[in-house]
Amino acid sequence: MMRATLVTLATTLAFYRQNPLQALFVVVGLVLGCGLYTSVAQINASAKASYAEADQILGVSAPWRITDRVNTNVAITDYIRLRRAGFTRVYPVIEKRLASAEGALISIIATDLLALTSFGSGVDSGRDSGVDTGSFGGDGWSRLTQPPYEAWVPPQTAERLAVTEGQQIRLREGKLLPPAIIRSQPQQRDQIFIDMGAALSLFETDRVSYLATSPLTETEQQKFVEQFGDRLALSNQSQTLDLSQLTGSLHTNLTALGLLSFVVGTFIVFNAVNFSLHARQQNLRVLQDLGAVRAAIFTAIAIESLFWAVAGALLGTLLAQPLSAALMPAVAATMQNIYGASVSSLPVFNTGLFWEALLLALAGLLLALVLPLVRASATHSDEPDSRNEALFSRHNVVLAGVGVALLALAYACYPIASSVVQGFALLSLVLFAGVALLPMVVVLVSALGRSLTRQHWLARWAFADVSLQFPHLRLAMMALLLTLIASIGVTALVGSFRLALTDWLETRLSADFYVTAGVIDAEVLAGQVWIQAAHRRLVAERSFAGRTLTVVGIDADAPDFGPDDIVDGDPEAFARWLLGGVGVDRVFANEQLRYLGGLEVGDTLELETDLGIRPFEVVGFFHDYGNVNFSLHLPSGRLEQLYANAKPQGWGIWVEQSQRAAAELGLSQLGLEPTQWVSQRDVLALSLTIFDRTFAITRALNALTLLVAAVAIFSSLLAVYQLRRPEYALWRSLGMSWFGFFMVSGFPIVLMTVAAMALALPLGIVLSWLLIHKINVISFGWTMPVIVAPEPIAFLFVVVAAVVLTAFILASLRQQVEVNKALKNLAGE
Amino acid sequence: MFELKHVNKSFRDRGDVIQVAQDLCWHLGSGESAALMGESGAGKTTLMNMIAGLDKADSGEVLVDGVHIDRLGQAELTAFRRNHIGLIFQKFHLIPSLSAWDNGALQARLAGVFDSDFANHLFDVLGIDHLAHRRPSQLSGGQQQRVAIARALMHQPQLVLADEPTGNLDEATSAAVIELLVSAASDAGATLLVVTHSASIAGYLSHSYRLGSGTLTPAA
Repeated sequence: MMRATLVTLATTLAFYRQNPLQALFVVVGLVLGCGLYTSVAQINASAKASYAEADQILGVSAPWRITDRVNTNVAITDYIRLRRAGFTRVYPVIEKRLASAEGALISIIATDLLALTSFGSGVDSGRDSGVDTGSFGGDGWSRLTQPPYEAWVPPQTAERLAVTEGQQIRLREGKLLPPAIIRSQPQQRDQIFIDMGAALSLFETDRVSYLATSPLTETEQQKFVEQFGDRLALSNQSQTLDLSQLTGSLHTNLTALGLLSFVVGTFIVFNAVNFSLHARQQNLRVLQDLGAVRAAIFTAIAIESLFWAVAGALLGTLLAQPLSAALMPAVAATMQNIYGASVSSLPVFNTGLFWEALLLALAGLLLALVLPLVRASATHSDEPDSRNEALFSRHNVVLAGVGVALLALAYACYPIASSVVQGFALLSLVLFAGVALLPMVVVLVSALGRSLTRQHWLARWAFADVSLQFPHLRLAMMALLLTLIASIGVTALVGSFRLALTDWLETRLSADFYVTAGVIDAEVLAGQVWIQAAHRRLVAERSFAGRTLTVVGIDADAPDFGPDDIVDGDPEAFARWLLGGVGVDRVFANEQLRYLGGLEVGDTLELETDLGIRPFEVVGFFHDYGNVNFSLHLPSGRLEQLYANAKPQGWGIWVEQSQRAAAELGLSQLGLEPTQWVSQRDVLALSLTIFDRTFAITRALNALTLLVAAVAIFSSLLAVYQLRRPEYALWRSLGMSWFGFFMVSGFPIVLMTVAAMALALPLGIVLSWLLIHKINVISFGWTMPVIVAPEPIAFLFVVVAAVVLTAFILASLRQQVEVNKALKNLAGE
Repeated sequence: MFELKHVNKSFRDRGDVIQVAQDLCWHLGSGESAALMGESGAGKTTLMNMIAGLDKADSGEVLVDGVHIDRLGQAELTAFRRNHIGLIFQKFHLIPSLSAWDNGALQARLAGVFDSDFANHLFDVLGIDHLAHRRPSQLSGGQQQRVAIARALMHQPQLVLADEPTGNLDEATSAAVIELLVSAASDAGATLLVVTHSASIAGYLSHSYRLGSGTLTPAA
């Protein structure tokens, strides 16, 4: 048995000595598949390690917050009063997002280090504070807290802003931050840390963003309400979602993309292994006829596979290192921008991932080997090849049936899928339905083409040649189809996201300027000639179904909210909302209340108000992109009646386009500091830049998967050309010109690519619909309109056509030489 | 019809030098038929390839229908073969995706001289008119070779070259096929050269030659 196995192994491996390119494709398929999967797994593992680290240091990140009931910020005198009243664990925090002189976004966080519990009595640990006090030991903090102060800039932020040690960052309005020290605290994220004293002086204010404190006992809470309840509000922040929950769907998404890459890589391996087994079929049959038992053949192939798997996993893991290092900044940007989660830009190597890659490579090879091996060993050398056209069509019909069944299953399961994993299972059903339907689509398109070109023999021939090339290119085209569906789905998703974000931002930031609350009043604004409209919103915070609910007062004539913003309300909803009801108030609710809170139009929810518990009838919903909280919109007049202490937000000011410069000057003349107003056009442009950076990861993964599919097509074409070389030599021997030769031999790949595109388009749109209406709803509780913009899809198709054409040209490069060589052997064949 | 003048050709096979032609001169006239015989490895197929323009001589001249095909470039040679030569192979080499009719018509269509009346006549003469719509996989070996003969004759070439055309067929079928080939080539006025091991096949042709050590001698 041992000797038979070795003889078989030597015979089967001899094939790769003669065909090193096939050996290369087996390795390339495994390396690309394992490499992409491992790099994504490594990114996920690194991100999760960052959350664990953040959790360990941050705890629940200052679970209690104290805010002003009237103003958006808290007076420092209130802080002092609280400390004097015995609330010694309270500390002030200033958080600001500003623009640098160069227009880059800067986040600043400031606190009073001496007020942090670990610096005070030493009773509590730094876990309860918003800052890792443990890292402030030694003499570092003394320089931070004393003039000329320091600004601690995290390395990735310093790199982004091109700031070096000692340099002072200039803000847009000209102020300078303290000298930069490049260092970071684990929970600092992308924020620049400065001392509270430095911040108060820098922003020339005596107010802070909020006060934070570690958990208060029942007695302390009661004491707080009694002494400060009229002016200050205490809220529990622990109701916000934790990072791993928030980012779960992104990681599932990344893992799915990684697995997709692996599936596409497996297609390459399957193709290469299938070809090598096909080419060695005669050898295997002869070996079997000569007495090599099936077990020896299987063992030899298993040893060969193990070798390929180890090589593929090892090289794949190595490839994953630079790949994940290149992708990690984009992922870190996504985490920061969407979820506010801080993730290191450097991936951490994990040896467990190698074993995972090896297992995947073995599973992929097993899949790739089983079918052709069974076919190869089940036939004896004197038996003709059992494959024929009838079998192919039966095979295709069965596959098409499977495809339709998968789509039907996805349709049936759609209403009951309720978790992220189930949502991704739905996506898999759609993807694999496409794969199963592809052969039938190609056969049908080819048959249609033949019948339409009955009178043109060359066209008929070209269409007929599809049936000869397709069996060899089937897997590569399936890989391309998977890539196309995923690319279209994600492109439509990102496009929809971008449009929804733009829409949302333009609605929320529809005002040209935003002025901080409390620095200017309505009468002053009314006297300005450059003002077209000015509105402000009032906000009251409550809780509903375990989550924060904001009740927002909206001016009916404010340009940023109107009947067009309502989804699923009746045509009279806006008018009814304005009028209110008898004994019941009418509200518009955000979609989060519909999908996560279970409310529908016509439902009523009860909330505590100043007038007691009141019913609120939902008369419609509005999109609320990215909000993790529930929200209701009430007419502002009614809100003031129900919530006398509702907090006013800043003023949104609309001006004529021609009055923008006058408005900026006017705001300055009114005595407003540059930090007290923002130009919302700038914020909009900045937000879109951040968005594009955020989704760089999906574009990069799509491009890599397309590259893998291109390799699959290239390797398949080489295999087809090698297998069909005698036939191609015949074409030439009959006097076919090279032009005609490449037309007929190249046409099938064109037709198959077009068929794959045609099938990918509807399925890609279904995929994006599922991503938006299922995965997004499950993950975040909000949805948005699915926008399928033709331009990016047309661009994708052009790129795919270029990639396929390149693969065809590369594979055809030596065709002329090789076919000419084969001409001489034609007669001997 | 074709003429070889002082042709030399050799190649290396596993270290041995095989001499196919040594100052070889040979001529076959229009409408004539001949069998080319010889031991395995003597170079019969290589010699036929040189006449078909599929291989080049080391030196000497190869003329077909008065044209020095050894001086033609690849594109001209392809066009010449398309218009003037018909080829028949031992393994038929039909295109599996095309019907018998399309396979038969292929070279005539490539040459732009397809004549459906002549095609019908040829299919009728070869006894495959009822098989026109079948694919090669649905035909027997003898039927496939008849389709290959139709393909080689349909553009009415001046020269038909057949390499072991009955090598894959049984004795009875071989006889039927060679009879049809000789008769159809004769009807079309084409010169026919058949490479074969079989003396009985050679018996159907007007001349027989034996190739050995690079020289050609009339066979007994």
